[in-house]
Amino acid sequence: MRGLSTLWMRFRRNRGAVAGAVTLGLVVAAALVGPLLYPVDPFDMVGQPAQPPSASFLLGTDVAGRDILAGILNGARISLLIGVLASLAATVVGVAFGALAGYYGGWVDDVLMRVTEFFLTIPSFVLAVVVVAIFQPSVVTVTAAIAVVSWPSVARLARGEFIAQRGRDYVQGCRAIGMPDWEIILLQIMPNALPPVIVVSSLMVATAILTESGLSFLGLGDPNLVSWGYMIGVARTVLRTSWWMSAIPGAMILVTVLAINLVGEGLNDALNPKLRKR
Amino acid sequence: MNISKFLTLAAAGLIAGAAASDALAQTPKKGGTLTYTYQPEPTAISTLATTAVPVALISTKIYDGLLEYAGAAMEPKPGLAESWTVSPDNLSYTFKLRQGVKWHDGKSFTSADVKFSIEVLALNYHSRGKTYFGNVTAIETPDANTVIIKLKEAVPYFLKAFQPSETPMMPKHGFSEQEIAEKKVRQAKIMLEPIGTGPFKLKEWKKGSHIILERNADYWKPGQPYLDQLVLRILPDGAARAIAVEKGEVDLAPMTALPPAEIQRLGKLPNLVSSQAGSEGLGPIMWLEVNLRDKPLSDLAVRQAISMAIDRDKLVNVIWYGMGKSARGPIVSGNPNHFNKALPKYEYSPVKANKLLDDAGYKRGADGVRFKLTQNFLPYGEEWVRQAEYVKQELGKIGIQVEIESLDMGGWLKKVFTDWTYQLTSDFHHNYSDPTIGVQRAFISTNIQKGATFSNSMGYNNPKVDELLKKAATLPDGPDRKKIWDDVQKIMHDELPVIFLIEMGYTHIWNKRVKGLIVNGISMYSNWDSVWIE
Repeated sequence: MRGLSTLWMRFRRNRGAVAGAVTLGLVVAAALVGPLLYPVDPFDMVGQPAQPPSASFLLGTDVAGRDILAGILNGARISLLIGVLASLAATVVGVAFGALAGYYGGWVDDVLMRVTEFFLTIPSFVLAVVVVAIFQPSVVTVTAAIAVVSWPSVARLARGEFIAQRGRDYVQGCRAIGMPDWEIILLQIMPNALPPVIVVSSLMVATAILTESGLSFLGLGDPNLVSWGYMIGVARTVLRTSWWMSAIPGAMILVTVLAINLVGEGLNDALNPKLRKR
Repeated sequence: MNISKFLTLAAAGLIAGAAASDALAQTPKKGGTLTYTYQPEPTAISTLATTAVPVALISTKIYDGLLEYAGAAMEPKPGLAESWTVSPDNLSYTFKLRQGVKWHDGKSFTSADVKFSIEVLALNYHSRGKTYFGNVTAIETPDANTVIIKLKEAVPYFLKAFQPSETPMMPKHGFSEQEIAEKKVRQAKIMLEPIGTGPFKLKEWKKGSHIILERNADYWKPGQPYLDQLVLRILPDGAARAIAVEKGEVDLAPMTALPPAEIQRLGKLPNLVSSQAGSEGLGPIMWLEVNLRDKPLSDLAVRQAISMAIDRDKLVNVIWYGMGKSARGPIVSGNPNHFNKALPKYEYSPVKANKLLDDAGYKRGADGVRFKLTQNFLPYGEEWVRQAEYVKQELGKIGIQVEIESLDMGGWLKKVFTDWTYQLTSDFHHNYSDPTIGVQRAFISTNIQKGATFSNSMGYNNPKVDELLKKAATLPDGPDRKKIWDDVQKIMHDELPVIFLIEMGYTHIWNKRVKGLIVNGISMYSNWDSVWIE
């Protein structure tokens, strides 16, 4: 518990991070309870199309007469869900690759890093588009595609951490008492290698949300779900006549991504205090 | 001869007036490039591959028909055939071909090409080929410039068959023997590298970007075409298409090629013309195509419930910005000769739809779902996606869970017309000037053919309807034929072989500097040899 409260103390010193956390909390709350408090189906044609914000439709209606507020609330769920899941998946895969490569070195390192580099050399968004296009757009394929393009950077980072740690005295000590490799990796080195990885993967949530929005904008999102990128994609045909239709979900993406970045910065300060003093 | 009268006199006057002021008030200027845009990109350049709009738009500039047509009523005029005679019993048509016409590769156009285009190509590969030429017993070519077509029974609309999109004249030497023998016509090399007699020939096709057609200097009409080049720009994004038209980068967006909201906005600009004229010979009717081979969809109660769950008026007003009318059956209400005025409007009632499904024994599961269906949509632009979303939403309310699947044009054609693995999809057909041409092909059981696009993909097989359609095909227009069509429409209205949705309205938008575009009832499917730019 004392560890956590020290973390919070350090986190709180970064005001931007606190503001980010509050904003992110609001977005998460909107995603969780919003659709319950405002139970309008985001795909329901509830009024005339392209109405500006008014008392009856707080954020107006889109090209098919659907309530934009309902879309924003439901879209928050999808955007956050895909962002968090894709980032988690990428972190797990990336850390596994990085840990094995960094700990064992030699040919294991060579093989795993060549695979990683293969993914790093392809522009990530293009790769995501290709993956989704091949496997038909759905929540699962979109999440998987984002994870596929995100994990290599985590792998590189985790590998670096493991290389730095594996020669340390405490690791030598563990080896001397005959501790198995998996125990050294998971229980001894991992806790020390994880802080920078946590920072990177928290920032990755923001990138994942942006990538999902990009895919949905291009019509490669799950066609059965509303997401913010999809809403912008729908509205782009009427950008000249109804700018607010794309501006509202656009602002939501901006605010959320910014908030996550601020929180990531704060986490960095909290987890790597020495870096901050530099 | 059966000349269809597709529009009211007032509209006819308007078009005649517009055409006259376009053609007569100014002398055409030579030169210049006309750029048009349409989404999606054509999959081939020949209506034998598919009669989809993007394909028909471009192929009709390269391949001419045997005849030309004038005015909204589509009166046949000499074209590649200089003159023609019809025997008194209407069973023999003799065409005299124009001499000295050359294919784009320099070879001479002869009666053998005509015979080949009809007998081998149109009859077997065009989605309406059997309708036009199913009664042909022999095609004689006594010399290089004479074609005699013999019929078993009179075909009242026979002279309508020779439109460039319907029976394109294609060169016999353009196909290899192997392509013909192995029935690989739709995959033939000429589908992508066309050789026609038309006013324009293919110069360059850069997939995903543009197609450039250039002036055919050897075209048989002296001095024509007026345009040097015709360019199709492929702009998948609706807003981008609209801006290109607004800025003058693109001169023409035919057949509702722009999003409805943009059509409304652009129609008010002083440098653009927005018009619904020039499509009288088409009569587009849109529906939700249903695969009747699949279990729940083969049940009439299910189709009725689907029909009742969709508010057609709302669909027209919201998704299509008021362009169109709710449909009542397979024939558009604007067709004064054949539409059955006694057909009622389809009822919209989710409550009744729910009850129908309850009574038919489709119980809702714990999640409120009775059964699941997949839905595809025509990949012609954003409105089609919005419509698919609307249909999914409304069907969800009556307990039918719909999954939307997005496919490109090639994938969609294959799934719907070759694989028959779709369940629901939006689709539209053109009625053309006679319902035997435009309506029969989608509903007659002999047209349940794999690979034939825009045919009877539903697997609809009603012997009564077959019999009526066959009878109507040979009768001249009159009370007897009208009665048959009235019956057909009544049966289909009730039996819902597809869920009839909307009579679409085509809006063309073009830059004022473009002249001479509206010439007949299929203006966008005409060869544009008299179009010019000021």
